[in-house]
Amino acid sequence: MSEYAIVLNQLTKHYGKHRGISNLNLTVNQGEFFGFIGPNGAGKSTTIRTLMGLIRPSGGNASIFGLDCQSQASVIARDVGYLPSENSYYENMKVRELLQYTADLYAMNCETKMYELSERLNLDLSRKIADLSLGNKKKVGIVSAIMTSPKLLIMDEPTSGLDPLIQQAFFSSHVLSEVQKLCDRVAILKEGKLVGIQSIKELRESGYKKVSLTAKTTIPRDFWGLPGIANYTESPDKTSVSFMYNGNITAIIDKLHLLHLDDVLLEEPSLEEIFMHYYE
Amino acid sequence: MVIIALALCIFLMTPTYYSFLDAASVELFETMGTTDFYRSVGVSMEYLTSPLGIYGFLTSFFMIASGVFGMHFGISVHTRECTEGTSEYLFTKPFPRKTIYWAKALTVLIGVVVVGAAYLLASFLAMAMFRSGTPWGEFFLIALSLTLVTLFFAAMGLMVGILFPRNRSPLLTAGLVVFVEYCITSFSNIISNRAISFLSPYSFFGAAKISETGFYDMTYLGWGVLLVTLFLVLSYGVFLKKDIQFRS
Repeated sequence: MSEYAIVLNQLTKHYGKHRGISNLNLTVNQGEFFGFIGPNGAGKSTTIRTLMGLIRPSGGNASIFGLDCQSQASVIARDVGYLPSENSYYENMKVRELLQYTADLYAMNCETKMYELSERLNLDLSRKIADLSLGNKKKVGIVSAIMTSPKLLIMDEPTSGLDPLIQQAFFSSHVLSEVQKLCDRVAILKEGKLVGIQSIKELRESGYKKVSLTAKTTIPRDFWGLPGIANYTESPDKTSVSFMYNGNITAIIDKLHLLHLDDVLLEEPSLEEIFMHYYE
Repeated sequence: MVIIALALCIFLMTPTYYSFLDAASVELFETMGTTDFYRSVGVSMEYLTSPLGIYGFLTSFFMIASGVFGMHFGISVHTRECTEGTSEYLFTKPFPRKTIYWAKALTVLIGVVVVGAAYLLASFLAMAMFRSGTPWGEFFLIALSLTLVTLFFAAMGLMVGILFPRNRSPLLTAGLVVFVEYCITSFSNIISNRAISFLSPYSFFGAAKISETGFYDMTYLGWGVLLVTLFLVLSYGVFLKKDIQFRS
């Protein structure tokens, strides 16, 4: 078996003239929690659906546990739990029937796990899926995805927490707090292209500081004259500014000394702010 | 519902129509016997004087209903996964697409066979009520032709459903296609153009022709088998390769 859980090699998908994803290369190690972040339309779901064999790539290839995602999708599916971004369950079935159907499709007896997970998530098995709220439908998806004890769990935009039974996870989200809490590494996707892959630790220790300050006089933009300033915003009267900075810290302190400050705040930026930096 | 409706209709309508037409045959022949109406549905006025003629006449109409059923079933067995948003659930389970394709095709086939069997049984009971000797061989061929036409449209429906998986009105599509096909047969009967008749399965199984020759026209039968095979091969090939469509 491959040492990698997932390998994307020049993976490309175009929908006619519309962009999907373009030349994605990445690897996910076994046992790793991997996040995939980007705004709506960046290509996260396209990547995941290609991994699941639902759509055919226009170029490149993808593999899971060393098996090709297109030609061996059904073999891969045996070891993969998948939570789609949209609820996709047979509405006229009861929750118990759908979960039993899932177990039957995997030829497994998952009754114990089904009851255990449903109880933990407070999911009523006797209700019809059509009558469930969106949140409860998502719970059905989570139970369905993990009750077969998959080796790999792929979750596309989950809104609920992950079950501790999971040993590996690959999921996408635009909710960064989820990614921040759960993942070891993240891939950042922008307009179908991979912008970067970094560990959460590296991302947070990238050297960026968030600088927010208010001065008694206006602060012209060219006052700073320093490299490493990004996401610069200022108030209409130009007395309050904030920006991301990853240059020499002494240089910025020296500049701050030259201002008549009312208030100053130097802090570690949130993951959202670092993430937005990639989208400048 | 389709099973019950078709079976009940043929069971009740065959003796009823026979008694109507038996009583009014002279007047009907005078008013309609010379028009193109009977020619368009593939029977003659003389043929309608027998119970089997009435049965064949009614069956030609029930073939419209069964055709719509077959095509709707064939289309919706695929489009429902897309329109109801269950594709991502089904196609991420440990079954290859070929298994899913044949499971769906088999489901449609079983549905068609069940409808055909119920129609045959109800037809048999209706015909058994007539004391005069029914030519059971011809009767069986006419009754079976409804199943064959349904099967033809079901195979066509499978292909249409795979080619256009986002179709939200499979019943309308099926109704339109079947109606057009029926019109093609009527048109070809009226103008006596055999070439056009190859475009519609309703031309393949004319009741009067079956009674006349004692079997199906082998050219039509072979052509029908070829088309069904083509529908299945094409839909299978596309199904294996095409991107799964999602609810939008």
